[in-house]
Formats: sequence, C-alpha cells, structure tokens
Amino acid sequence: MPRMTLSLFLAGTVLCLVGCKDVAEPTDTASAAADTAAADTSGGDTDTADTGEDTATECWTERDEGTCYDSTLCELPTTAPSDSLVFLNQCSDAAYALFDDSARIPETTWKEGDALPAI
Amino acid sequence: MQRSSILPCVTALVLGGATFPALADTPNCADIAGGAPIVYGSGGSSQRDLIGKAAVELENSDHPIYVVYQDSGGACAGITALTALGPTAITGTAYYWPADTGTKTSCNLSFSGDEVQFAVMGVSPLQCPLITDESLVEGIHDLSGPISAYVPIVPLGSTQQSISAAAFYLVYGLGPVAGIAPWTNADASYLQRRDENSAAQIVFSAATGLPVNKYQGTDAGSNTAMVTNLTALTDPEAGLGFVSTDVADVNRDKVHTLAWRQTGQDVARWPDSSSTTFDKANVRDGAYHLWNSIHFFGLGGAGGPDSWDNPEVQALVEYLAGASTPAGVEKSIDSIAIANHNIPVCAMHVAREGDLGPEYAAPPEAPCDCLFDYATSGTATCDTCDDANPCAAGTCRAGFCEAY
Repeated sequence: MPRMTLSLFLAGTVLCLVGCKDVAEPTDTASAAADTAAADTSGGDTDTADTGEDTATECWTERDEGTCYDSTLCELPTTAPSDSLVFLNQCSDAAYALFDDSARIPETTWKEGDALPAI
Repeated sequence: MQRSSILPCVTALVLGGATFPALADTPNCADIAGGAPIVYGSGGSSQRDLIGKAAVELENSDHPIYVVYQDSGGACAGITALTALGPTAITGTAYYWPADTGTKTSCNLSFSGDEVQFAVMGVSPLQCPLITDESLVEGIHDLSGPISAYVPIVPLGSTQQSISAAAFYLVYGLGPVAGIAPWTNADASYLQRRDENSAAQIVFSAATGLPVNKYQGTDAGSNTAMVTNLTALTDPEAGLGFVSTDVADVNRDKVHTLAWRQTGQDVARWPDSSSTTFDKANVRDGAYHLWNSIHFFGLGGAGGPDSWDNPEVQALVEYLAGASTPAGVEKSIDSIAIANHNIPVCAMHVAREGDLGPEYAAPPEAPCDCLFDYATSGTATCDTCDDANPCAAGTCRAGFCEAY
C-alpha cells in the first residue's frame, strides 16, 4: 500500500495548519532513521478484506503533509469491510499535527518492527 | 425476561419499597413526576447530558415520561443490569431533569433499589467484561443513535498537541517507566484513567490493543471527574486523560484535546478541523479514528421480537435512537445531539461495522450538514430557506439548503 512519506525529517511534534511548510530540520537524519511513521508495515492495518483496489497509486496525491488518498480522484469504499487507512489518510483541508514516535518513544522501549511490549 | 434481584427479599418486605431520605433536601426519585410514569436507567457518564436533554423533551410531551438516570457505575452497569449478570437495581442517588428548568438534579432512589429499565453506553455490549456471548443479550433491544467521539485530554497549561496510538499504549500500559515524555511523573494521579466498564477506556483499548483492565494511573470514576482531576495537577505538562468529546468540548477552559494518530495513520488529527473548532469534520468524514455509535437498550416483551416490556422505555429508547418521535416532542434527537456536542447520524458521511471497526463511506439519507455546521460554528455555510424562499439547488431541511 502506498503510504505517506512525511515526517522523515521531523524531530518532534510539529503543529501544522493547512498549507504550511515543513518546518523541521532537513538534516536531522537520526530521527529519520527511527521514525516509524512512514515505514510501519506491521501494525494497525487489520483489514483482511483489502483487495488493493482502493490503494492504487493514482489515488494518492503529494501534499504538504505527504502522500494522501485523494477522494476526488478515486471513490472511497462504500461497503464494509474496507480499508480504513484510506479514510484516515485521506486528503483534507483540516488542520493536523505531526507526531514523531521517535521523539518520545525510546528505541530501548520500542523500535520499528518490534511488537509493542507486553503488559 | 426473567430477572433476579440481588437484594434479600426480606429487605423489600420490611421496607415495602419505601423511599429513604439519603440526602436531606433531596427529593425522592419516586416523587418527581406528579403521577406521570418514571423510567429508570443506568449507563455511561458520557451520555448523561444527552439523556437529560431528551428527558426534558419527553416530560413536556403529550404523554409525559420522566427519566431517572444513574451514571456512577460506568457504561457497562446498565447492560449488565438488564441481562441480570450484575445488580439489576440501582440504589443511592441518581439524576433527573425537572421539566421546567431542565437542570440536572439529584434524587434519592428507593432504599431497596429501583429496577434498571433502560441502559445506555458508547460501545456494544460485547465489550463489557460480563457480556461474554451474544446469547446473553437476546431479548434486549439494542438501538444505535448519535455518534460520540473520544479524545485524549491534557490540562490547559500543557503544551502537548498530539499523541500516537503507540505512545498511548506505552504510557498507559507501562506508566512512567515507559519514559514517554512528558508523561513520566511517578505520581499516579498524573495518569487519569477509568476502568474496564468505561466506554471511553474500552474505545482506547480497541484503538491501541492495550487490555482494558491493564491501565496504569488513577481511576477518575467519571468523565467529568477526569477533567476536574487533571485541572488540579500542579504540573500540567505531565497530566494526561481521556474523555468523550461532549465532555471535552464544554471544558475547553480547563483542558485541551490532543490530536490522535492511529497506527497506520501518518498525521495526527483532531476530531474537529482544528483544535479550536467544534465541527467534528474529521469524525464526520472518517479521518479521525476514535468514534462510535451510542447504544440504547431496553427489555423486549413477551409478544415477539418487536415487542417491548415497557411502552415508556420503548418511547424513550426509540426517541434517543431517532427511530420515532413521541407526540408533542418539539426537538428532534438530531438537534439534541448537536446541542450536546454529539454528532447526529444525518451529519455523518462514514459508518463502521462494530466498535471502531473498518470505516466505509455512507452518505446520510437526509443530510443535516448545513444545520450542524451552523450550530457548531455560528456561521451559515449554506443558503437559508423556508416555504416562501425555496432552495435554488438542493433540499430545504431545517431552514438550510442541504445538498440533497
């Protein structure tokens, strides 16, 4: 599934309003390596019936905040079950905040690819 | 449906159902209606004010019905009462809303307890610890109504703006030892939580995978108490809690919401289009993950699957769910939901199967987007209309030209 490539350069939580530019330091490669936002292919997507139709590359658009699902180009799923990630990552004019897990979650506690620790 | 009482029969025999003045100057719940029927319910604190607003409408309807509601047991208390898997009666005090003022008011329940006749909660019954199988809720009507969204909250003095599902899992699952700054204070009061009977906690568990009974921190006991407790912290930066948005929205002078980034989501979203608006734009189009339908329950009757045990309960539950409107009721449940910072189904453009299940596009049959946006922003984004001024395009609904 095409996923956003944003936040590779973010070193913390950055409040961002519509149309704003990426204000993070582009040279911060340390946090880029640890940022799991763009590369997390293991967690969260539990939609077993995802046929892939709704994730075609032509449905995704580059925006200031990264790649998002453009519902003006492709229909959103109208039946269940569906891939909720196209809704969660759909292009929007709403404000958003960028959250970089690596800024808060030490790699000793959780790092990319690891399951969350058992309680 | 056969039900059992946990109270010794001798207690009821001795007291004869007499009410007990538990609080001085507090009326007995049995005396609030002037002879009109009273229905007793139990469930979540998130839905208390929605119940209250609907109760006032029913009290002033052609066939008045009074409502007594207790929220101190958590969301699951109501459905476990209806299923007789827990106490079937509520005791102590509960709330009612006088027909003339609509003000939330305490009343004393009968000393032997009052049987729970309806239940309300923000998730489906199977999320409750004691409801382990669908067969346990057979014979109970389960109607879905307006939408509640849920949000992480921090004290107003906090500079935090967002949190991810992974961070939430670690903070609440491991506590301060997780080292997730700034939520590292060793004092348990800095992590406000609920318990496994709370719809809010169930929702966050469904979103994060954190077992609902494994939360670190201090049990606030209710949505409103969580706000109060967070406000009292000396270091606002270290405080964290979670509530439904109807509670968060009316307490923005005390707490602010964090944007939520669900696993697999690449940015964190507020339920609204910004941290300062009330439009629930990201809930309504599916970009915000933490939302669910409110469920309303009442006992079925002996006359088949469509029958109800109590006609007043049927009237209340169907009204809350938008299935019917009793004669003489002035406000629709849609307008009540909007006023309560919930989202009526007519303003939602997505639906989902199950609690926090996969979303899919579901345009409303009779949209109320214009009304919702006006009510939550104070600014009309659509043309207005009436019988003398029809819409040039779209359909006139509640004074606004909706899209169709």
